[in-house]
Amino acid sequence: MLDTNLTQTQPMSSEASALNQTNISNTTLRSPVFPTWCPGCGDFGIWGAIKQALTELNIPEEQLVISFDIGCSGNMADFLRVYGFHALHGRTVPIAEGIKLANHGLKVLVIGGDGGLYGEGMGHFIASCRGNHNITMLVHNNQVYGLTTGQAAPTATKGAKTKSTPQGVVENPVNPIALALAANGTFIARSYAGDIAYTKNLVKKAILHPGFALLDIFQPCITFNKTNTHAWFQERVYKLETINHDATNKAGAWELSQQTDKLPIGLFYEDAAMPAYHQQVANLVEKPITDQFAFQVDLTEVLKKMT
Amino acid sequence: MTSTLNWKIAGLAGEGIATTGLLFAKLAMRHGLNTFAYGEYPSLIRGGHNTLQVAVGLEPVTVQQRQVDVLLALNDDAIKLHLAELDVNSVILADKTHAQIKWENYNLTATVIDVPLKTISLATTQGSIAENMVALGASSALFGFKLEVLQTLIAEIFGRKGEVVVQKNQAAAAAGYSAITAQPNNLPKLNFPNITPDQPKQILVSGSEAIGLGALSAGIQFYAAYPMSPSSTLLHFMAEHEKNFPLVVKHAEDEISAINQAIGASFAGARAMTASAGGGFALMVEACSLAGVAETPLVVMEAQRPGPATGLPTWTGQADLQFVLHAGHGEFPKVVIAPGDMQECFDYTRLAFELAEKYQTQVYILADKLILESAMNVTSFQAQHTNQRLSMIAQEALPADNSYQRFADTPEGYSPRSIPGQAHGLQLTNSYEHDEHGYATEDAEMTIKMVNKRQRKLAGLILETPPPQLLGPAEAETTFVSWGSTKMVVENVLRQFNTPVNPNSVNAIHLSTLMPFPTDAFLQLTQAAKNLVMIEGNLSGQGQALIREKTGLDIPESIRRYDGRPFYAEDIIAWLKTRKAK
Repeated sequence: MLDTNLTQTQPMSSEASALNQTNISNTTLRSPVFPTWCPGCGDFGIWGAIKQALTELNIPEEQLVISFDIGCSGNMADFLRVYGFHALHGRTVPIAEGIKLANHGLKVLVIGGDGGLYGEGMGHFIASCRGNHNITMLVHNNQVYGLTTGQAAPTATKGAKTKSTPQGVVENPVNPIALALAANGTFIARSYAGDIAYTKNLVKKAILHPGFALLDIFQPCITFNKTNTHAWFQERVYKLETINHDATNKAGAWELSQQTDKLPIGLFYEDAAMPAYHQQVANLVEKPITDQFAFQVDLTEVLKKMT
Repeated sequence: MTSTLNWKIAGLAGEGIATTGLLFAKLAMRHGLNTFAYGEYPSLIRGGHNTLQVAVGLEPVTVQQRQVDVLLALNDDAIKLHLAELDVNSVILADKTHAQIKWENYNLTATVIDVPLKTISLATTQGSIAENMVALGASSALFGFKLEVLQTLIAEIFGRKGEVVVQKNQAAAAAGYSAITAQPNNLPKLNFPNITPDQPKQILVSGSEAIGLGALSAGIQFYAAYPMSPSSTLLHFMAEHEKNFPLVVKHAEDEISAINQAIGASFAGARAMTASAGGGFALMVEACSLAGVAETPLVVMEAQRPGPATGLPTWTGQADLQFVLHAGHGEFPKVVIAPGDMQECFDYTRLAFELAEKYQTQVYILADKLILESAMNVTSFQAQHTNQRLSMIAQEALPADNSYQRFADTPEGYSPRSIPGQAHGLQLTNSYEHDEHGYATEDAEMTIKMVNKRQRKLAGLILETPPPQLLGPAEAETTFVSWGSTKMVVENVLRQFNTPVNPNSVNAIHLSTLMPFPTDAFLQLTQAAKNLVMIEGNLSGQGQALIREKTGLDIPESIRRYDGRPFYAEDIIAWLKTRKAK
């Protein structure tokens, strides 16, 4: 009864596929689905920046996996031809961690919004910073829930009036940069969707960082957020390069994270020396666990202790 | 009267009750006896009342026993709380000079044997605390066990701590042993006849360990969990063995993360598992639905304890059956198997990994505190195992024109699976309803096609999941119907109640697979039954309702228990006798 009728195929090892690899390009990324975002949505800018970054990084297409959250941002799952996992709202970070721990040879990205990643997924975000899992978290931060028609997000300004908060948001907004700093995040950056070239460079840096990388991206929601518009951001954002911020200076990064009158974008903090989670797991030192499938198992030693 | 003897140690949490008790069980096993070790303890780390009882017998022992033959009493509560379990044939081993035991309060009919545990411990170890070893030595003498077998066991257990520790413990045990053998000859005779030391093929194993071994045998590569009694013992087992197997164990920040990490690892090609008790599993339920639509292989162990909410954390029950059967919004196939003994814990966990991977679905091992934390002797499990990857697509089978479809509509319902890293295998695994590549769809026809495709897996699964078993004689006056760990007590009842004089009094139909429900096989077994009686550990008759739903059969009688305690054979036999007298 137990083993009857079990069909078998040998999977390939992830090393063998290098023979016929295709590097990511605009052509390989093209999916049959055209974006359903509103015309003028900030998501287009981020989409463009991600595609350019991936192309410039020359990653073989089968070596990239993206874990997409639920929301307008996560709908990018249908607009990119990649190995993808369109997961549950707020749960994309643990999905990505599981993928990375199973096969750390892969580049693993998380794409989601401020609702999923700073709201329902806040605990996972903090835990992933602490663990320094080598994944890249790209957050479309538009301060509203776009896909569910514009309710307040955790990043909404105190007092913001939305469908779910007609008398104004009571809470203070989440500060993702400060949270990541406090949780020992090792790559903490912010960008603005209106500057595609700048965003592309930060996406590349984030992907190349050998640990947990947060890139928070201001992304105006032109349909549901009439306050934090492109014009609003353009009046406030400035690049950290203009003040010669030293990204190894944690205290300086903390001070900058508290700024609200003007909004710095760029790399707040990076510590590339901290080993990633998987590098501290003994069984993963030699090769990924997916390359170590136990075709033969011997339980003799364990059973002996029970005699 | 019975062929088993029941030994029980009772004292405060933190006094090494469980360790001592398990050593005694192992000692019995090494004398060729059968044994079942069962512990009770409150949800506290220190100060609560703890017991561990070991039933020992020449015949198979598959359940704990109420009546105590030897009570090792370490404090006053050890006597006060167990008076009802003692009678004229019982023996109490205790320090008569124990300051806290109020002997004057008890009108004991049991024989009290004075073993000055503390004095002996201090004298033999030069001041160390080894009272448990003294007690263990005394108990061994009382049961007629051989001192050298105990000494060997002590050397194995404490060997890591060095020779001095071993010698002190051995000395304490030997002195405890002598304290009994030196007593006058009128001691109760507890010696088993014909004890044959050290039967090599036996192991003392708990359900948690058996499940863990089953997972290791199947090549588990990723285990993520968050601690919660009574599932934590499996987390500890997996973590302990991570260093010797190609396995990653992750203590996640919460249960939601644990199951999502397992799903992510499985998607990437690792054999993955998670576990929790009812409350923690409740947090995982959204992701069960995700694994369903994503067709990601996943093994989940659900450890039942009485709820609702925090409930009785360290006690047992079978009240999560309907919850697990229905876990996850929407409709998708799943397998729910409730192992009935240690061998089934091992076999069915191994099977769970194969079924999960082959059918790209989720398989639940539905266990409970009784089976997970009790230990018994069984014939040692098979040590060597060969594993194969199932339903995965080979690199050469992936077309170079990128036309591979991860969710291709197949007659079996599952489709050859690519994993990240495979060229030309790109796919989108999607929580949204999706097309054959994985892109989201809201198309009505595609929705029907994919829902049907997934559900078709059940046709194959029904053939590969464990069928219901008939326990005992082919025909009997009474036929119990049981599922999960209740098998252990039912088997004990059958052994005790079907006497040579009246061999066909009672039998049982036991269900291991609850989903997909084995309707035909179950109905076939019920045809010979005269009087069906459902026995299960919940208030509302969850298994009984499942049977009614799936077969139309309404079982007329039932025995239910929902006080956190396991079923005792004594109670069921009393029930049978009362019924017979009517």
